[in-house]
Amino acid sequence: MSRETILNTLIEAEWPKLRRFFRTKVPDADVLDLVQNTMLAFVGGKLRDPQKARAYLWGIARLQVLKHYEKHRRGSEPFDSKIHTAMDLGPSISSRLDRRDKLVRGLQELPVEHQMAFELRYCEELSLEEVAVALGVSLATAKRYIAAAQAKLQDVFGSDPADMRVAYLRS
Amino acid sequence: MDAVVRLQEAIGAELLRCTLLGAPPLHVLGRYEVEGFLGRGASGLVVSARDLRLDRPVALKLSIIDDQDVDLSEARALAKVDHPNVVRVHDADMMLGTLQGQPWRLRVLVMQRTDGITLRSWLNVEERSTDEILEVFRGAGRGLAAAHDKHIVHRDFKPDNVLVRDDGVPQVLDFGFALAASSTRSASEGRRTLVAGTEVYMAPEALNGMASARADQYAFAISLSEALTGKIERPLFWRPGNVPRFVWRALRRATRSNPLRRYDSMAQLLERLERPRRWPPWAMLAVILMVGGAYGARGTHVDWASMLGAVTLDADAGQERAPDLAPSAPSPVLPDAALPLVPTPEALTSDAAAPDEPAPELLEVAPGLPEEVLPPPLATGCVPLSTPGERRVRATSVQSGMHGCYLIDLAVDPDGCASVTRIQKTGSSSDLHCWRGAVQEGVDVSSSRSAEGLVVTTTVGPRSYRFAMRSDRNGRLDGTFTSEISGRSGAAADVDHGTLEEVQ
Repeated sequence: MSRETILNTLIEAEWPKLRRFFRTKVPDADVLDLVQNTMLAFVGGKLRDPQKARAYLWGIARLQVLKHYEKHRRGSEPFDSKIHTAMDLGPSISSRLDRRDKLVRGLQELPVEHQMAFELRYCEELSLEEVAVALGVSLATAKRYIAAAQAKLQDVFGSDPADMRVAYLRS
Repeated sequence: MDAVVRLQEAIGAELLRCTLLGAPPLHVLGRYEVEGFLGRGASGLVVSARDLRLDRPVALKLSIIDDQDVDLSEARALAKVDHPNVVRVHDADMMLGTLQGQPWRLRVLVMQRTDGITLRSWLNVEERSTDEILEVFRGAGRGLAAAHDKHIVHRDFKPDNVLVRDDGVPQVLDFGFALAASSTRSASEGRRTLVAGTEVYMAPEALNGMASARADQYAFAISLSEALTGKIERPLFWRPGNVPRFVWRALRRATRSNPLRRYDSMAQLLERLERPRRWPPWAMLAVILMVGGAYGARGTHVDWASMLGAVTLDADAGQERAPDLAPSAPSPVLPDAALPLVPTPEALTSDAAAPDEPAPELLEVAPGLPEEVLPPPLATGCVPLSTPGERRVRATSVQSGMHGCYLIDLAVDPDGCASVTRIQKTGSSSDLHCWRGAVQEGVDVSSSRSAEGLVVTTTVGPRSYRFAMRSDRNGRLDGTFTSEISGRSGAAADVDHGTLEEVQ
């Protein structure tokens, strides 16, 4: 497949998903840039196993988020995505996040890794294995992240993941 | 899926094709090159773009419209508002374009592009002091007032619609856009496009489709109360400790359910939100003593000219005359230069003698004077009404003590006063349920206004009635009635009269 074809496919099929993913983590104005970077990295990278293309793509997306945080957050304390939430990032990012949607607010209050694990598993419907590869963790850890996120969201949101997915897709 | 989201995805795909695949750039109205996204609302999408003609950055607000002949006059009027607290609008237009094979009919609002965050974000980023919050809201309020001057109503004021620029200047966004975008739809359909939660800021009459400058005032006051207290509460009642009295008073009046009881204008509300000017304590004491002396010597009549150390401005020379105190009043020594100017009756009525600084509010100094400013006088016989509907009114005969129960349908006249469109009698106190008796329709209903209030005449069955009603301070109807058997006179007319009161 030529580079153009891959990019075309990515734009057609993955742009809406990447948009949703980035939108809950970075300000609206930065979403398009991160999507672009993700797509360029994907075509420019070395994908060994085509079966793992999806996990690979989302792995890149995750790194884009973390890179963005490192670049733009202000604060002396190191940011640990396993513990800290998007709201812990400091005002230059957190104040510009779109927090009007209830579900989005709930997601932004999860530790970033938990948030990503939950969204990839239940909203973008990756398999557990794919989530683990994308986050660069073991299956058990991925499961733990997802369960923690689900429990917290259920508390706040009061419905099951299927309903949350519907709300997420509308965001 | 939401149309706005679909639009964002369509535009985004085009932009990606442009940057990643070298596709031609996306142009709007043949003049603006779209660069990226700035934000998304319920009614539209805001994109960043470059004005190719003038070579400057702009923000384009794109709203999806489905009607052919949408009225742009509101948007055009907005473009004429030139005020630092209103985001500058450069142009408004409509476009029909195709993206990814799909046609889009969009309204385009071309605005200045500035960096900043929404007022909501600004409030959340850091703990803001009361003074900081007041200062920002005053700025936003001035923007609202400027637009009201050009007869533009916002209709959707809330902290999400105010941008706080990086330099701290607040700018109001999205003016009348809710109106312009939905002008061809029914009021209820327009409401459905609002983000859930906008309704919490809207005045009661605005929720029924009657937007006005006073509805904006309400939304502004609710937003400010939320910023100061952290929550939205209607009606405003207990003043939280961190909110100054003068602010709470102003907000309470601005959030009255009856729009006619709010302030006349945003400008008036903003005046009330300025800290009241304080005289130095010794000057206040001096004036109180002098006024007290006046009361003592002459009862309740106060003769300002001789009493209040009449410092008059000689209109010609602009000089201050030395204070001339009445001998009976104690006269502390007040250095001329520092004495606050107190207007004489002449100064109050003649412009020439107006002091440079506005006279301090005498209300603040003299105890016992009413603090509340009275609402403006209403037109003769006006029963102010914001919501049309049915009211239950019970008539009580002075002679017999018997009740008659009536359902009165009120409509709102263009001037905000009530008129009666229908009366039905549903029973009398001899019925088991006064409100559930056999309904008798009033015929020849005639509604008018006089010095007695809202006057209605009608004939129900054999009797003709005349009701004269006003509304009390709670908006409830009360008044008097007379009735007689139609077509008869003298004792045969069986004249009755009594009182009316509205019941829930």
